[in-house]
Amino acid sequence: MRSGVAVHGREEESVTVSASGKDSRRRRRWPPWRRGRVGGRQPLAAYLLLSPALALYIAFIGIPLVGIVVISFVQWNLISPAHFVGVSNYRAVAHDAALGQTLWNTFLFDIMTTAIHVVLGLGLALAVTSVRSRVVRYWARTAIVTPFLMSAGVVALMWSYIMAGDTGPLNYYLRQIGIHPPDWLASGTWSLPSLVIIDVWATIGFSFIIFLVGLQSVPSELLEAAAIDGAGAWSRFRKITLPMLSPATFLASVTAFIGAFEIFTWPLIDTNGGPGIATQTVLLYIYRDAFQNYQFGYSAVVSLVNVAILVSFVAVMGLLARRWVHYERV
Amino acid sequence: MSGFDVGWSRAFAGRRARGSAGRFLLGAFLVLAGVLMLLPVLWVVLQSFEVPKDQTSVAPVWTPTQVTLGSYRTLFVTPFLLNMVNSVLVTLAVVVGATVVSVLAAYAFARLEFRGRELIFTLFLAALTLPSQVSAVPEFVVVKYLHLLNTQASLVIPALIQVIAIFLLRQHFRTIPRELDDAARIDGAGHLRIIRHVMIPMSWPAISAVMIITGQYIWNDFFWPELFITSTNRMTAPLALYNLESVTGGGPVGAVFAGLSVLCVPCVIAFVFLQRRLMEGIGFRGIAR
Repeated sequence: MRSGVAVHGREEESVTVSASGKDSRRRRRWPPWRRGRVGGRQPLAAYLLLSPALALYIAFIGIPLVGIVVISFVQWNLISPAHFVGVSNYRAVAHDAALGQTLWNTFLFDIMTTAIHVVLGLGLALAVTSVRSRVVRYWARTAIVTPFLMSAGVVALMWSYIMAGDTGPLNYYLRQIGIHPPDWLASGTWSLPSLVIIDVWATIGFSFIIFLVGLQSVPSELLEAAAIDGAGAWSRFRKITLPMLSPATFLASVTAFIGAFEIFTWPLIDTNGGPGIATQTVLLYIYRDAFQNYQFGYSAVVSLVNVAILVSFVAVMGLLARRWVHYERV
Repeated sequence: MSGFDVGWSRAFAGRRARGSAGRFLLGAFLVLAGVLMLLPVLWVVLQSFEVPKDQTSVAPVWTPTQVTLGSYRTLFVTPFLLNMVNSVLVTLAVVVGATVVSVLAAYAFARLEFRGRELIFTLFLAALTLPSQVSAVPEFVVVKYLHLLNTQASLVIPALIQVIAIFLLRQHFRTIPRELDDAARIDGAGHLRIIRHVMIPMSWPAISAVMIITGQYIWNDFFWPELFITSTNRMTAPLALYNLESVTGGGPVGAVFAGLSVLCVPCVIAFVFLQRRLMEGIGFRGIAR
């Protein structure tokens, strides 16, 4: 840590010396033992400037992080005083069948959403960048990103009408073309895929933009050269675009994965976790335990389990990424 | 807007173009995809102007027999206008407050030296990797003990710390040449003046991108209002709409449609105007990770 500061100090001195000569000598920051004397009034200013952020960090990030561990060892409904129960919350969580089902729902939802995000986001970004007409590009871009700007509550309400079994327009048109449609949000089989559809509609814009920005970093000279050498469209895509895009792909998949793991609003509004607990997700489970059943200690343990699972998934994704994500530039 | 169309279109320029039929199909596909994406929104907006008979008809009515503002009248009998004002005020307060907090902190991290800088910065960054919503339980406890439950302040104060904004601004501040603030300091400027007259003007695109992504997040948030706010008059607009829908058991369908339209249309308009900044903001957030 200290060496980081020192290295920074050295860089900075060399820059200022070369740039403005004599003047900067007054503010030498190297060697480090002289630093205190020269920049004596700086630490105070720094802490003052940092204090709002630091206070907020401690209150709303630091304390909650420590607090959740403490709460996980107590039984507490926020009204009567908490009492220490040791690891019994943990033991209860380990035997909670509903939690198993909940995690499985969340996992399935997450895998489906992430896969679609990557494939569809990349496909749409490629299509938008390859099409000639500016008007079409503008139209497609606007249409794809707009739902991403809508409140989750608005999206969920909207789709609860669209996917309504008997009265919804979606099923009306499906019946018109001769399909016997399921009762999307109320069906045991289709409720989770329905939420996937809603989620993809609402958030595909984000992955789309990430791929769109990523595609700009694919050097066109490389693609042209490969085309001249006779490489077909597929092999250029496979051998050049895809590897060059790997950082964007990694980012889009991690973001989609984390976002989907925290899914809350669609299951709350559209299915209320049902039918049964077919669409109960982890965050909805935590929400119900804590804010409807007042089991704060128990839901703290569920939160911790949730974090542990999510962090380990992301860590595995990060480790795997070393094998397929290329950061070098041509 | 040519910033986003390099890549493939240019890549194919050197070579005989793919069949124009293929290109036409691709264009047609994109036009259709766009229509499909926006169709739900169009349906909702049309519904909001229809008479109850059309609204409840099983076959969707795309050409209303009669146009009426009745749904909007029903909607604004509820305190929905107040809810919208709440949404606007909360968003504005967070955007302004979080930007000030982030600019100050980012300047300290980018330009000043103090004991523990790297440690504090690492702790800040670590918060980025934790999912925000799993802190629901402990944050609720903190907000309760600060006596902020069911107040607008509960939506503003915890949101003032936007670690991603601090990080992005710090990265940007580091790209500003140090000679500029050295020169300002020789002229007798203090840190606040340097921030105001050097840092902010030099990084306005980054700051506005940060403001837009923060504003978008707060305006659209559903989770925290749902958790903290219980009185109808203090709710933000999307929550109030959900409340209207669930309390009445889908009674005044029209009013809900009207509310959805009122909340959708500004998004579309805002996007048309802020498209570039927003794309930059999202791309910027993406790249910074």
